[in-house]
Amino acid sequence: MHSSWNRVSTIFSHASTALMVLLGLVAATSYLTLPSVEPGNIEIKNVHVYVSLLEAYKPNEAASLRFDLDVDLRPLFTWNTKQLFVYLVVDYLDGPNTTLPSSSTGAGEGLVYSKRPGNEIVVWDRIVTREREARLRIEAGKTKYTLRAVGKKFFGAEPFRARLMYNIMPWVGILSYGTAAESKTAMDWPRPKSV
Amino acid sequence: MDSLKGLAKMGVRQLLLQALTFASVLASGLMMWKTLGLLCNTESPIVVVLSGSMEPAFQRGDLLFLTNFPNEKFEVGDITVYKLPHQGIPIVHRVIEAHDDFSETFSSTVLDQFLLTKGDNNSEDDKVLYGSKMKWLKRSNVIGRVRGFLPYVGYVTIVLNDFPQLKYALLGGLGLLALFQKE
Repeated sequence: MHSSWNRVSTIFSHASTALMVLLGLVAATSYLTLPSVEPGNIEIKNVHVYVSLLEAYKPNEAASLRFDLDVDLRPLFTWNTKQLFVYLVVDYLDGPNTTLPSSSTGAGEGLVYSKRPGNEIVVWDRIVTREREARLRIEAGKTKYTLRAVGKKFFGAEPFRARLMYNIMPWVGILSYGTAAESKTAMDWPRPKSV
Repeated sequence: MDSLKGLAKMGVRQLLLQALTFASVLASGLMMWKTLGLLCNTESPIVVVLSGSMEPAFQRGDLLFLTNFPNEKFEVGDITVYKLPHQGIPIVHRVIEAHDDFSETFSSTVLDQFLLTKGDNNSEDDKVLYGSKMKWLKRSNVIGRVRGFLPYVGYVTIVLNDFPQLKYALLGGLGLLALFQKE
């Protein structure tokens, strides 16, 4: 009846149940007590639009920019924070002269968002694994990824905004997202310069 | 020998009953998996990380929990699991570009998205992975968005896949145990 095999299996199943319950509680409590940050500063300077020579990206319009960044993400490091993924997002709507369908009025079912197609592009990112590296102060930072127009041109698109977002990746539990800084004004795309 | 004698003593009814119990355990496992898939609206609600392209956040063998609700737009920063039409293995990478793509149907405007992904640990985006025919990922390629994380637990499946003999031994052992064990 109470063979050693029985005992081992009982202990093992009990231990794994207890572990799972504990991990569930950790995930729940850390999600209920999510930290937040004071809004920091992000400023975009020096937008540079050019005609790329790469044939793969038609109509070949690309952009890069420089930015100033000042944000303190240290409060986001709790005991259940494995790492932060910090990323700078540029977003803009397509201009009225682009691919907007002509009769997009009626409120249909399905997915209807803003009338104009939106675009979101990550231009810079950083993985932060330690609290002491979470104080970010960057001056005239360069974009890591080139902005590329998608079958349309930037010029004629609506002005763009930039925001710094973070993703808290936990040791165990639910992934959460937040905004750490937003540009105060929308900026216009300059006319392209040919390279 | 002892167990064989026991098997003979059990008779056909007992044996069938054991087989039935075994089958119902399997069936309830499958039911739970499918129910979870239904609730999260995805074909595989839990996936195991197979590559190191999202390190140091996700390592080989970590478990990821996915949802894929149809009325949620993908945003940059979301970690998606996607499957390419010419490749069987699902890939876990982060969205770094999202462009809306409206198309008119009979009664409404439907949204699709052009997505570009990249592994946090990779230096290049996934344009090369998509191949020459595909420039962007569409919503239909994506299995789900990562919502939850549980480390290490999935490593068992990786070991079992790397050493198939172990898998058969384990399955056989469990099957025999289920047959011979009384109660």
